[in-house]
Amino acid sequence: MFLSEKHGLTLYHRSQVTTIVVQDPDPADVFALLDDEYARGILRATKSTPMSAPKLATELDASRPTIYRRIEQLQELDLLTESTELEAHGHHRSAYQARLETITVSLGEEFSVTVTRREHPADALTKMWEDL
Amino acid sequence: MPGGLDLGAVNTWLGLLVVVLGIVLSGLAYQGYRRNDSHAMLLLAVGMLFIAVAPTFFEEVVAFYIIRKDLAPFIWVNILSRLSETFGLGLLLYSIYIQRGR
Repeated sequence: MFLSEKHGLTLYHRSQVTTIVVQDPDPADVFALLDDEYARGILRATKSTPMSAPKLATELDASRPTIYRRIEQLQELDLLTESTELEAHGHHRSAYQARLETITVSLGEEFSVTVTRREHPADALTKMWEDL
Repeated sequence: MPGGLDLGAVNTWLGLLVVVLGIVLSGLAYQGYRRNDSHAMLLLAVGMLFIAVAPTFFEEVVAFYIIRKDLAPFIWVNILSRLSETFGLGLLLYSIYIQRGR
């Protein structure tokens, strides 16, 4: 569920299965996504306050499917977090917040990107507790 | 009382400090549960209340009534607090074990 902030490969196990997670995303995926004005708009709008998808659609003047698609893509690269907000009538609603802090692009043999992400204290505590 | 220090008041304020810190930590754990749908974090949040919040509540509030109404000796308040702490620590241990089993 959680990726550590360490570079390169992260090993974590859940039950008997050991999963290898490649930490830094494919540079091409990052460039392509950040080239999209709605993806950038979502990150910008949710930098300081979490926002729901319908609210983002209004804010960015985009269709809801577009917003949902971008949200999904941003989540795939772990640049956006989802949290659940409880509303007055007991309804749950997802709110999104940017995790992206910086992206560093380096050119070695290949292009590589390193992403630093923000972490909510509650998520940091969860990670710590679950890693015990 | 040395230097006119009211030790009862010191005890109450320290108790209040423990309660505040306990509620903050428990709230953070509860947020962790809500944000990550982590059952273990819910147990941590509840366990923290039994460890840090309930004992002071017993000692400051329940004890007041028990003693005033002469219902039971004060030692029962201590026993109640220890039971609460034991239960809370048990929840924490259980919370660690359910993650191991997943």
